[in-house]
Amino acid sequence: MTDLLSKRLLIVSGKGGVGKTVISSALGLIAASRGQKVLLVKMDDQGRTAELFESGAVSDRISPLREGISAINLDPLTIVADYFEKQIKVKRLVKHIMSSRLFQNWFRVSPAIKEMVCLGKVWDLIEEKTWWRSTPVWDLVLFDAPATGHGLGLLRLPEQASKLLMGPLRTNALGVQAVFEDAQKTGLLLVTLPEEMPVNETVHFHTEARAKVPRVAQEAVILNAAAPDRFVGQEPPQDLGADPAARAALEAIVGAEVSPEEVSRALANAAEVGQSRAQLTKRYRDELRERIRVPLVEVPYVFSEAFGLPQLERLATILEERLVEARLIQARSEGGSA
Amino acid sequence: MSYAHLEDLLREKKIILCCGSGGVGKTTTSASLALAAAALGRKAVVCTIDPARRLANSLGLEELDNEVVRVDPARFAAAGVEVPGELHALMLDTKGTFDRLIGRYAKNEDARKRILANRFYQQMSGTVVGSSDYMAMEKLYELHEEGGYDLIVLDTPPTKHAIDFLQAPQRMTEAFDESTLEVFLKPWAETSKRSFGFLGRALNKLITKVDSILGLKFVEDLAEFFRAFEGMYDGFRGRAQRVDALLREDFTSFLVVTSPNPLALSEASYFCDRLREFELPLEAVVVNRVNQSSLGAARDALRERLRDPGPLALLEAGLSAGGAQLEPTLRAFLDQELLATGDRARIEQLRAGSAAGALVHELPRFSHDVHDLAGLKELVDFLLTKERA
Repeated sequence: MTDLLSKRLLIVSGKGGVGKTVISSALGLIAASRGQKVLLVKMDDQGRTAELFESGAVSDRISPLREGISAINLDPLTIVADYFEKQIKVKRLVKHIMSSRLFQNWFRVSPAIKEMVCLGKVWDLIEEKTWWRSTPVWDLVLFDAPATGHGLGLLRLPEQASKLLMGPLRTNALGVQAVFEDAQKTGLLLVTLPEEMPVNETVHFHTEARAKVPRVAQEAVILNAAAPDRFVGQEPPQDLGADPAARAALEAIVGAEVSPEEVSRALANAAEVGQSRAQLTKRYRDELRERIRVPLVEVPYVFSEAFGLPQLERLATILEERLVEARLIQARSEGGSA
Repeated sequence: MSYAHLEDLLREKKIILCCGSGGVGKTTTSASLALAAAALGRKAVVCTIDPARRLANSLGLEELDNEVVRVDPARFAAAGVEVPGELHALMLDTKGTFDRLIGRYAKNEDARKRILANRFYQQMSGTVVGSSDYMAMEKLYELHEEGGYDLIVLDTPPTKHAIDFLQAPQRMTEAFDESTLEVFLKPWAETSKRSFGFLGRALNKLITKVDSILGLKFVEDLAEFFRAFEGMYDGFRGRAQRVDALLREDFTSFLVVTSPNPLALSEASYFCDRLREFELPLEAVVVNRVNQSSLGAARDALRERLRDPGPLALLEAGLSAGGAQLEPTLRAFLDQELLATGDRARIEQLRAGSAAGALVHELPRFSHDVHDLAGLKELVDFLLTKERA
């Protein structure tokens, strides 16, 4: 199996709200900390990436987020305008076309064209070379794919488009398809949560993708926000209200006096919630293990009040350990941490 | 006007549209809102897009039948839920709805067949992102026109661009705008004798050029599609305008569904802002799965301490105060309080910001998934409560 970080393109997919942005950002941090030049490719970023990296906004032009990591938010109209400028070479004419309501309506109603234009751009970004040494501009492109509402749409698009289209867009579609199907270059990661709908959708996606786009290399399923089992092998203590030690401990934490009833209720409740969370995680972990044919990589829930850069960095450290354990990436060489 | 309780909304409105991003429990919330209305004695119907199978099964819905099904009162009885009203449900079949719409406005059988067979139509109506927006609106209008329900709850598609779905009727109108159509139609409509202005010809040339650069061979398909559409435009346009008017009625209300995680909340704010921008009636925000503090009055004191000196120091303090053997419990306690504190702060921000003026209603995070009537009933109780969490 090819080291994940030696690939050129990682597609991070999953149901809406499972943490694709956080996971792809963490992967970006890992790759960048190993000296790679990373590009995060978003579609429809609504400011979350900038919040996570505590950086400037991500726009339709490539801009740096921090050392080693840049980002772009793909905007189909911008991409097409750039493309026309190359082809037609008359800026004013391009402006005319782009601003005509006719073109805009046409572009809007064309089936799948916006998505195809974006995939074409991803391909361009992978192939882009520096002019001075003709090495790739980006070592790793992390594609934070849009929510997989209808599963495979995006992955199958190049193949379907290559049948429907002609001319340059067809060439483009074939190019994208070739990259997607090259296991040396491209890998697919599915992100999920320990919850019913995301797990169902992940299993479905995984199975369908194996059948319908068998050449796209599925690398792993990432179980995000796995709840820790705080009570491994032991029962949570019962009725702590009468336990002076429990009361003292809680008072030391809260910094105020607490009644025995409150001690009993608060600790019992927290234990129950914590345990049921852990049980749900276990149930879905087992289900995924049974039904998924690729490694399952688990990252823990980050308990914190907010989720910003410090939490992202913590998550990246853990994710890196887990990916090394799963042999999906190599351990850092001794003393070689760049 | 603004509402103090969800119950008032559920008693008064005829249409509630639930919007929100994916993964926040929008479908479950929509279903439980309709059930709550039925529990209040109303005849409610919920139109869902893509419910979890177990939830659909629990309501007795088969796959994508596009037909309204009344949820069997025996199911309520079996689940121990008292429902004096009626609950109806349907799963939206995007393509089927679109086909029906074509059937309604096609001038004859031949035109209908030609459209249904057109390559462009097939892609647009079936797979393309966005057509489910149109069709959700269309279904809403159908249900409203048919009448017979006190309340329609629409579970909208999880559109990332709020604007796409809000503008669906308007875009529909634009797509069928005659000036657009004529340019597309003209060169292929050889039999037509009407003359064409210079601008039309020039634009048409440009578009054909664009078409050849992109290599789509798309204009032809589209022209054929529009040709088959002749005579239907007025029907479509009129309908799109009526849908838009329906969304602005006094009896219509928008409800944004979210969860307290940062990403979902920032999308919810965006939704709220856009609704205001379009002058659509945002009445309520439902925040699902809110983590609850297990403390009473002491929670505010703890909130400060979680920031400073922070959770790790607090754990140490608890352990050394005699709780060493309680370590797992104390950790679980701090986990929960951290989540509850974070959720609380973000929801307050929402209340003061984008959701200002709307009712913000919180539902607690359950320790289990909601996938049956008993689970929905539990949600209903929390939806109808008048106490603020």
